[in-house]
Amino acid sequence: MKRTSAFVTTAFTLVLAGCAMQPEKPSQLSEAEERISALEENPAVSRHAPARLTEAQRALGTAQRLHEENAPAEAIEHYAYIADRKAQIAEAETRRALVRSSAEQVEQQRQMTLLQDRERELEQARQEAQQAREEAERLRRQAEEQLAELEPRQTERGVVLTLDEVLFGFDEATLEPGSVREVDRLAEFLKANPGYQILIEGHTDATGPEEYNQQLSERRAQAVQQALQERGVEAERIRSAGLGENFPVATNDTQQGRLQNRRVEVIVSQEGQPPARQEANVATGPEESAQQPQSPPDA
Amino acid sequence: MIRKKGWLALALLVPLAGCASKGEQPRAEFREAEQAIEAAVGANGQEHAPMALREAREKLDQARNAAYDGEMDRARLLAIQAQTSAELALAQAETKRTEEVAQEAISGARTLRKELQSEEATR
Repeated sequence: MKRTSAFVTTAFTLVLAGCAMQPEKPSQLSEAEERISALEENPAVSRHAPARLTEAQRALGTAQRLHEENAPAEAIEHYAYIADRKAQIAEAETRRALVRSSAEQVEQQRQMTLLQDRERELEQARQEAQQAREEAERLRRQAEEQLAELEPRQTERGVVLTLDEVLFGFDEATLEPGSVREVDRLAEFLKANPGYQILIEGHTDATGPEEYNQQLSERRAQAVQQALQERGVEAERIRSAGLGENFPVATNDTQQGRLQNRRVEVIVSQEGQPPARQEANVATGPEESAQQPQSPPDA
Repeated sequence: MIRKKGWLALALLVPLAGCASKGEQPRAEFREAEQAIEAAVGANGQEHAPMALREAREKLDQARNAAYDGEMDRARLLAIQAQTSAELALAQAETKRTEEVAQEAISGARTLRKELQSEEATR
């Protein structure tokens, strides 16, 4: 700026001093002056192309001096030309530096975008895992609630469920339609809690030969086992046993009592801790079966 | 012719031109101009800075003609101008190349952003 205004002052003075003596300024010199003064006002040029700007200024200074000294136009024009092209080089180098730095910013932003995307994916995976955990927890609680509806009893052998509604007809080992809901609940509980295994015990009333009742109770336990397997519970988690008529829960003297005795019990235990098998109750079984030795089975 | 003669007389006053003794080929300036033109061509100046490169070649031709005519001082100045023009062509070609690379980076980043946005939209 200083240089330019100094030059303008000088030029003005020279013009005033004697237009006749001073030859007209070559257009190349005016153009170079304009170009270079524009570069001097641009801070990016002195930051990114200081050497080129200095070269341009030096050539311009020489051209201006030659002009003041009334040197031949060709010499002035040569330095003006060099000044102008050096200035254009400074422009190109400045532009290159600016483009490069903006490209670097774009690259940084790209990296940032990628990073943010990865973080977002990780966060999404975390949320999905959390949702999966919550869903598993919800299913577990639901299964526990369903189990609670089966009215478990805590005994010294573990948790015992009596499938009250799993009823069998006389001399039947086929599940009646009304039993399905109970079996469904048990199957859902077992599927939601893979850490549990069960022992299914079948019981009969005391009607009929003891040996026949033993087999009938086994078939009843197996019917429940099969129903559970059909609902997706793994076979290796289920054991079944028939206990015949030896463990009545009610009197065998009334129809209501015998109905209660025709039942299936499920003992739930943690995996690897199978419940002890019930010891035969010799006090009630034979005595009751002896009462009606001639009756048809289970009648 | 009159103009040329007048210029030759005055050229002696120009300090730079005056350094070289008259009648000697400005070989160093020619060589530097040629090398600068080669460098500009090597940086794909033909495609990216055609005007500056053409000017450099024209100046060098003029310099050779001047030398042929025995105008060695004029030849020297023209060779220097040719060299400067070639340097400008090189600078412009390199800048153009940088712009292309930057443009690729920008469109690459834009594509990535679009992909991520559409990915997000489909989630």
